[in-house]
Amino acid sequence: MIPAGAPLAVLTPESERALASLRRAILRMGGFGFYVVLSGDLGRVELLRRLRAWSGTEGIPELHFFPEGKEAAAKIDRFLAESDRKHPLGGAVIPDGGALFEVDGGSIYGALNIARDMLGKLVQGPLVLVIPEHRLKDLVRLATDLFEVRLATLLVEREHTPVPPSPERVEEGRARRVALAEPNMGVATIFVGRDDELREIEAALLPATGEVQPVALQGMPGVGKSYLADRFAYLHKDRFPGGYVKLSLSPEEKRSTEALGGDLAARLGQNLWGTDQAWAMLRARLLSPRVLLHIENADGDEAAAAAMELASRLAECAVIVSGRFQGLGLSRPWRRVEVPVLDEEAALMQLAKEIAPPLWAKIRAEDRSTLVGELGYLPLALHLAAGYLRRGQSIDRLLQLFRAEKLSLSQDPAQVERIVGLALERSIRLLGEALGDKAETWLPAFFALGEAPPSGVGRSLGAAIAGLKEHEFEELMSRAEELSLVQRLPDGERSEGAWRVHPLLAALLRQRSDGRGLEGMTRWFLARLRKGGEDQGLRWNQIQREEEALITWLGRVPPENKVRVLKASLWYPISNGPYPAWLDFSERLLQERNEPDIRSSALWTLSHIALRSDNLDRAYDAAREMSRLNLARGAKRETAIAAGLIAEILTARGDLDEALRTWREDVLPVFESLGEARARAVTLGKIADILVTRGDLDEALRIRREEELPVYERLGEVRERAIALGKVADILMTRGEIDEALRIIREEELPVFERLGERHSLVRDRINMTHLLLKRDHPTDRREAASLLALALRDAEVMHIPEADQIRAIQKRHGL
Amino acid sequence: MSASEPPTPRGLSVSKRAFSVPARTLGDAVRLCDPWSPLNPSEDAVIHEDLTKVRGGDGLAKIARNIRRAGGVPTLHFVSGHIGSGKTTELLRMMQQLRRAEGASPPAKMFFLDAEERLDRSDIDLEDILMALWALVYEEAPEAAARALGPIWKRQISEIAKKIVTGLPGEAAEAVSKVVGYVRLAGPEKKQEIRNALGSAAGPLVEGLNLAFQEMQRPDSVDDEPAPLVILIDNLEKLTEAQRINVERLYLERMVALKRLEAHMVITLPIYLPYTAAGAGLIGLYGGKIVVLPMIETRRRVAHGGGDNPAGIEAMTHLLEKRVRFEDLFEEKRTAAERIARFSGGCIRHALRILVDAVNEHDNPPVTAASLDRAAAGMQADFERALPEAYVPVLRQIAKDNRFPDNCPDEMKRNLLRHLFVLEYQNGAPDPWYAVHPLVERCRKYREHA
Repeated sequence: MIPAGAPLAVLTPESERALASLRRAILRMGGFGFYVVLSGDLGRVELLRRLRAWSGTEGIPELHFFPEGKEAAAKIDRFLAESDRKHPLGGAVIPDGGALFEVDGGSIYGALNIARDMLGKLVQGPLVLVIPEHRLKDLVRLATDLFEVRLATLLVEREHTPVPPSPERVEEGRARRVALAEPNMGVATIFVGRDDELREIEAALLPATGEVQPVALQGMPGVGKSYLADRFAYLHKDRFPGGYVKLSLSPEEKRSTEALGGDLAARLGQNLWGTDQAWAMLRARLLSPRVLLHIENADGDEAAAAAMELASRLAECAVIVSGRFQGLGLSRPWRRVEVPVLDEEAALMQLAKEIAPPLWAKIRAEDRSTLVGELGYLPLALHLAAGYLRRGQSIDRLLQLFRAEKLSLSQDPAQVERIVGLALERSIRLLGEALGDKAETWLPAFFALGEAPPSGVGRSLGAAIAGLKEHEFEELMSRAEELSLVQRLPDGERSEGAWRVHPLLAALLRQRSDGRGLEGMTRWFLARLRKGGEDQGLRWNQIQREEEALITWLGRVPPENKVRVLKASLWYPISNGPYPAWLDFSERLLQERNEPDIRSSALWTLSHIALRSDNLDRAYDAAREMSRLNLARGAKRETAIAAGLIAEILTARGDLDEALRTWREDVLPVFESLGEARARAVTLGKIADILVTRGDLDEALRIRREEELPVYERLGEVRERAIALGKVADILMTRGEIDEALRIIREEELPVFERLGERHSLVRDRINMTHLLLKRDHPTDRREAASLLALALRDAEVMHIPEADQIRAIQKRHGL
Repeated sequence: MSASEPPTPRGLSVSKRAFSVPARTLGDAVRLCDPWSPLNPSEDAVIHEDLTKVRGGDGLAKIARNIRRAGGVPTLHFVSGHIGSGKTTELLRMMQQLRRAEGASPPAKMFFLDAEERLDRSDIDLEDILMALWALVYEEAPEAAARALGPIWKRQISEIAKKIVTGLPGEAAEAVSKVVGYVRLAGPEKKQEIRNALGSAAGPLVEGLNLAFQEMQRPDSVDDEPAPLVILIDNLEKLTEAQRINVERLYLERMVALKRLEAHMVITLPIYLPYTAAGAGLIGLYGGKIVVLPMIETRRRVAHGGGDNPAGIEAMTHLLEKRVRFEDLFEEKRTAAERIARFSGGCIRHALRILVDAVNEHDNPPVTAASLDRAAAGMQADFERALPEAYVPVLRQIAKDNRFPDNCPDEMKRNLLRHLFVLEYQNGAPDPWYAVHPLVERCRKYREHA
């Protein structure tokens, strides 16, 4: 779901234009000059990422990044102090490239001064300073006139505006939920070889004649199985208009086939789950428009079995399962494609592509061959070594290390792990050096990332796992990315910045982790799950952006924390899902715990989720069990809540008489006896709903106006009042009182939902308003209706809710 | 470099950076209009605009004549002007003039000390300047330096310096270079320490320089007139304003010692200094004259009717047209140059900046009117951001009668001039007049002030 109010690093069009101007300025000055970019706090990370991406591209020299200008200045000072050259400024610290400084702390004037001195003396390329806008306020005139800054431009970022979403954001939402437009940055540029394997996959998934076969990519860790699948997706993206969906299994994967299918369905916007019909819907969704599904990390036997069974339930769909499990794809109808290590030529090509040409040219041909051989022609090891060499490290030291270990590659996973482990060791040491004084605390933080979900984590959650502040985490990731230790997820997938660790590296990191990662993840989710408060929209949106991490985490929550999670998350799962994962969580909790109050809560959650998933039988069974359990222990209130749930399920089944009786006889008297005014008002609202359905509008309107609304107004229940008012509007609409109905929705209901960021309610309200406007048919009503429907459709498409089809039908019927 | 590669600005004079002069492409326009590169007097003559008329005479030519006609008696000159008014370009031209023999006057020997390059502009004192001059002499006249400076260094200075700067080389030239670097880069306390030490050797430092100058001026025959020796210190006016008291102390107290040098001195001076209470005694103290390089007068005084000054607009437009073919590159053609001239208020650097910012909005020509407006708005935003509300009433007053109010505090005056909120014009008349920068006049803070 598109987040409402989440702080995204979205640069304004003005800022984009300014950035483009800056790039032109550098290019036209021949990659030289002193530039200051002013930035707000929110967009600085995005800005730095964009500036760093320019490094070494199309006429811009390599930009050495100094995250903190003051620190960098101190480093330069030390360098000069230790230098024995004739003139202190006679040599060049950065002879070939430029420098990019992030300046925040310390004296801005000092930083400008030092940077100005460095230009052309210590730094031969462009020198770019990124300075917080508010910090340069008083010095801006000096910066532009005294310090010879060639371009001082203001980059203002904006927060994401939740309503209405722009078409681009809708597209991003689609991409995030359904597909990765560009599966992996490197597949387009760095990928080498594998022509035979790609042909085999194509023959299986895109046959000229005959049936589609599921593909099993099997190979040792780090050999590039997922990368190969990504490459295939990239090469054939036109053949899969429904997109490319990745389902990442975790090392301790325990999800059943059913749970995996449910999670996949949720990813595709399908809420219905738990029935044969749901499987048929999922299959239909994957077939048209055609989706390429990749289930990765099928490494253990349980995970591989679940993945293969999932694929078998999705006959004729394009499915790739990749993993190191030896038995993967051995039976019919699978097409098993074994992925070997690269040959020497391809290995050399990969290394050459990952290293800047000047650096590559400096390595002797025999050293290149020796190195790729020592690295076992293993793509992951080559990738790590490239990061090591890019940092200017000596190839000899790397070779010595491997020679000392006398390693040779075989199919033995332990041997592979040692090779990758050695390369990783060197990279971690470099990371430590790059971190300097921070290494002592930040390296353990990095190791904790081994516990991160395999699908990757965003900045906020990643920081929690690492036990760092967000900006610290971002810096750590930048350093790790430079050393190929982590991969930044493509913008099409996560535009706000997210990273993933290769599963094999993650496994090696976990060996060193102090276990803080899971604790951090638990703290992060618990802090965001609760309902209520002005920041609910923001918190819940943050979770929604980490939906895959949520699924992984729910499968890992330690038993001692499960009850805390259950109690903290009463409403989140019902409102947001993903239903299969929460269903699975609740079912497991019920298997583990016998305490009546815990079981009651778990059954309540489970029943609600099953109801939302249209799995009415499971919902009814859970509600009945909850009712029996609470009746037995004399818990009146909980018994009434269970009865209310049963009434809702009866309503969903169409048994309105029994539902009305239940509300009136089993629920309402209990809340009246307990003096629970709010619960009584809610119950009366449910009764009114049924009365409306049965055509008793006057009584329904009386209940709403006289019994329900006054309670919400007295209690300050803004949201409930808005919902009740919407229902009053529904009744008025049915009675033909269109103007008043429109007024209520426009003035009293919509503003509340907009404030709360309740997108689904907004969609419904806009559809209702459309109906009213079309019915009233004043001169400007059709135009307003068309505009409202367009807004509603955007949101509905982003959320993949059935209302999207409803809206399209209205548009078609009325020619809007 | 292949023909298709853009020339790089590093180490090249401005006009050599472009494929065509005036620019026919946007890339060349950016390279030819680099606001921070002074023009090379010989190589960039093709794009140099003679502004003598519109500036009311050539003050620097007068300095050159004065030096030639001084008959060997050292003279001292201060050159002032706004940042970005073209001082360095004109100083380099003057240097070129002096290097040529003229009539009976032999070519002058010139030492150009770029304070920005060699000194720490956040903190400069007399000792730093003297040491930088020593280093400059070593670089440009090594033989004379070896004969004159070497013995004095060994005899009277090296031991003092060694106490502060560790690992000082035995060879004098290298040692001097290292001390200059040390002074430039050391922290404030260390700086003071070495200055205190060198201060005790100020006499020998000056004496050494004078001896070196004598060596250099030694004529080949008894009939030869000795060549004038000129020390030109540029960019000294860019001294950090945070060190205001030190700046005033340097100019008003410490640099008096430079008068003992047997050389003509031309020193740049912050524009505000002569007009503040502290700077009022400058001429009395040093003698000589302050030459101001004013902005191009693109506007007329209020007393003369206000509005555009056609001659100034034309001069600035012509200056820009020497660098860029507006007909080919700008949607508005020559009108664009005229608009830039108006936006700039006659500040050459601002005009070039606006031009470059507008050009860099486009991958290909034409540069639109909207881009030009945005470029000007960008600079206006800089002013808006930096302009303290408290200055606005004074600005309003200046706009009304083209002079600073009598009760304007020195500090405000200094800031208004230094940051170009207020521009100084002096078109031939002895007294300067002032106007608010056109882009400041467009600022919200200024406009909304009742």
